[in-house]
Amino acid sequence: MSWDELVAGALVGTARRAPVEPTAEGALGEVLSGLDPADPEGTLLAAGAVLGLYRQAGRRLSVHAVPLQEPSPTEGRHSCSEAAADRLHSILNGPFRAVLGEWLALLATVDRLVPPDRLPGLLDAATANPRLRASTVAVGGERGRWLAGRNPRWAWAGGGSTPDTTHPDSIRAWATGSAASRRLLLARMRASDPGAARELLESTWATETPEDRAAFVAVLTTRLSMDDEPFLEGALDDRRKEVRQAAAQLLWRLPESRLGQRMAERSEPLVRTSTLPDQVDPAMVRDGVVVKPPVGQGERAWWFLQLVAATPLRTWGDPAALVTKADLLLRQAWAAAAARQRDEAWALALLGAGGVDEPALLGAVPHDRAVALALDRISSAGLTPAVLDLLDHCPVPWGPELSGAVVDRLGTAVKRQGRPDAEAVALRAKMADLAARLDPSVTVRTTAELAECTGWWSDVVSWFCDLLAFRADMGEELRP
Amino acid sequence: MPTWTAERVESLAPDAPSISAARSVASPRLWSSAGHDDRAVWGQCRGYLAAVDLVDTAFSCNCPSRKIPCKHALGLLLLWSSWPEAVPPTPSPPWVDDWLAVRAKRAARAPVATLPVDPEARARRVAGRVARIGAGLEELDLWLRDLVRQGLASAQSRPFSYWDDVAARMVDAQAPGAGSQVRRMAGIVRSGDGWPGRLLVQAGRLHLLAQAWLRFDDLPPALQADLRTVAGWSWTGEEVLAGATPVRDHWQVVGKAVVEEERFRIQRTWLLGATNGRSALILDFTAPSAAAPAGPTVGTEVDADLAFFPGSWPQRALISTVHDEAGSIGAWHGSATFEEALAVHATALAANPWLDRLPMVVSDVEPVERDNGWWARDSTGAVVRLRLEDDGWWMLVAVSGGRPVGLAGEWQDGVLRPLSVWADRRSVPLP
Repeated sequence: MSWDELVAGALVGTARRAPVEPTAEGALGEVLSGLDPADPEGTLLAAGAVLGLYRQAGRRLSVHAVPLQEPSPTEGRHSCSEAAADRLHSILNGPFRAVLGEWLALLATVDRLVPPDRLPGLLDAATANPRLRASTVAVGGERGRWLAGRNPRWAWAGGGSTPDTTHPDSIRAWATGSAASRRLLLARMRASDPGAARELLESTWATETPEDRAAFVAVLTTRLSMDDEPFLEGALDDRRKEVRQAAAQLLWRLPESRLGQRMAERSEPLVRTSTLPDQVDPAMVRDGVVVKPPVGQGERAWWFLQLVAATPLRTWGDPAALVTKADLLLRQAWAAAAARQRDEAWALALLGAGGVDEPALLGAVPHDRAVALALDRISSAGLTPAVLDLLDHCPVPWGPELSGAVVDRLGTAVKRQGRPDAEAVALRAKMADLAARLDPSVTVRTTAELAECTGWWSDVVSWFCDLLAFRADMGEELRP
Repeated sequence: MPTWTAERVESLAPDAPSISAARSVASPRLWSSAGHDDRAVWGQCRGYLAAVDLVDTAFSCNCPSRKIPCKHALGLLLLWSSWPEAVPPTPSPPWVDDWLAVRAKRAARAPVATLPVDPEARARRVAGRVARIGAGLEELDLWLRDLVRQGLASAQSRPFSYWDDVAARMVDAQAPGAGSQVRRMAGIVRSGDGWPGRLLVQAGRLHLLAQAWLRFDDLPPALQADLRTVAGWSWTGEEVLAGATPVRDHWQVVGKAVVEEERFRIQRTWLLGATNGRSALILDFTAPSAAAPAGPTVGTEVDADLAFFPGSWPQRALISTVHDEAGSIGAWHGSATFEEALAVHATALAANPWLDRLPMVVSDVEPVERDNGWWARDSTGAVVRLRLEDDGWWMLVAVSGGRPVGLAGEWQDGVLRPLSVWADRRSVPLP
């Protein structure tokens, strides 16, 4: 009698079907023969126990004969320390998730990898936040790529290790990948070989969807050069407005472009004669000029602003001599141009002349000058909303001096009694950004300075201090 | 020197956010007048005074947090483990002395089990309980017979109370273990394909228990102990320590599983003797809201004496003496194949047919995906099915990198639940 028959009998019940007497060979048979046939329920239960145990103890495993899988390639770099790996775990599972980008960047600077057991958590985090994907791929190593290739959810991080346009993996990924993984592939390729990346894009340009075309043009921001100009000039005639706009915005950054020359021809007479344009023609629209002004701005001033901002700055001459004589509208336009064209001389002249509200200019000056300028503004104006805006554009690292100045001002602000004013509200809203960018060396000072804060500040200050301390420890674990 | 690793400290946290919060305060710059001695570690963080009793593991902090331990107490321990120089050995301040004194006084007042050992009275108590459990199991056997008379098919339409009422009667009869085995039957009925076979085995095992109990007094002590274990009649720590010969080895902590029961949480910690190859199970019971019991950390090995609970295949044990503190596991002592591991299981089942969950430690297996399921394959190509959550599976795959790894876990119903993976000379616990 087989096991299946025994179970079938048990399902129906002894009341309806008398159980077949269980028999077997050998020692098992001996045990079963000891059961009492006069007691059908007891026999059934005992046989169930005995045969079940027999089957359990003698379990045979099935054999899986599929050839071995391709293992992950050997890793060239070392994993980070256990303390750093634990830090990643607490970033992913704690309140300070926002510092993940900084942690990944620090890890890349010391040329270490995320240990394999932490990869799934990191890949999930970067799946949810595409801005972290490139840095995740950088510190995931061979194991990260191998692992991502096995889980469709992480497909964006899979694929070949060196993005090479001639590599079959790249060609396949470009031809068949998802929109997100293609964008990442193009971005990685653009970073290593800008020309090859653009050529790859051109090879399939005609068949891309409008959404993809606009996104791919934006990827060309990385390592943009005059080599891209012919392609971008062509994209100005795209059927889709978003694509045209994206192409124009990149060309505004290239003073040598044909678009730049056309803009110079348009704006030079206007500036020379101090007049505003009285119309926008289709050629201007093709070059990215937007007809409708933002709320609160006159349309002619708006057009003027756009034309001058897209004009190569060398059209005008020596900035030191010019900016002091220019009116505010012209200065604004030049400031926008200097930020886009990353023109250091113009940026410094405009920042020195004052009156220009263009925080993006900080991006056009050397890092130490930007930090010095921000420090200067804090000393003269304090942490006003405008200065906070400027700090938004001040590149990290801020260094101990600027960070210390921010903390001193914060210390004053958080002790101020009475009803919080608009400035305090704006500052409180910026605390998270500040805590993420201040140099962690000011942690001790911060704790001392902010200890006496008023009740309205206390929860945000405590969180602020915790985050700074967290970042300080994080930096110590990943010191080069 | 701090004897508490960061992982041990984290295992004390009441929840995951507490760990992050503790890390954020575990920084030397936030602490003043921190120190430690043999009894305690203490310090001040932003105006809060935190201390930890190292001997009885208790926490004190004057912060408003309701969590025990709070982030300051945990942070203090983390600080001590990461920056020992920030928590130097010093004489304890008065507030720590006061706290320890109050604790000592309270402990002295707690009733101490000092019942006079009267062998006759004890024998009467034991005989009484054997009889009570026997009566309960007789009732259970009648119920099992009724179940197979009406047919297992009838079980599918039964409400939960059908099982729960019997389980409750087993608890009344002082056989809570039999009660939870009955509750398990309710789960088997809803467990999908093949449930009638599994239900029949489970019913058979309980029948076997009831039958064996009829002859309790005539059975050898080891078998009596097996029956006591299934019935849920346990031993006190003192009884175990008094009756067992300590087994000393370098015990490797190869896995930890936590299950939430209705009123408490059970933590199962599996140990493997590096020299003797024996496996041992440490059980910890806590209230669901309390901090998880510290216990040894997965991936470490500790030189210790274990006292095994009695039985034909002793498995559950207590750590009676620690000779040397934990270090990392140095070498993996897994079975070479699944076949070899299952042969040990067969021997175990022959000794104690009621064992339903056994440890399995194997070497050189690979995670493989097939038929939409997750499996592990050994060097002979034999495969076993794995029971894992999605995050556990991907961590296993990540750690293996497509190469053979060591695996430790619990074997139950023909499925392996992996608890840790061994690769690159390091053991990683799996979620």
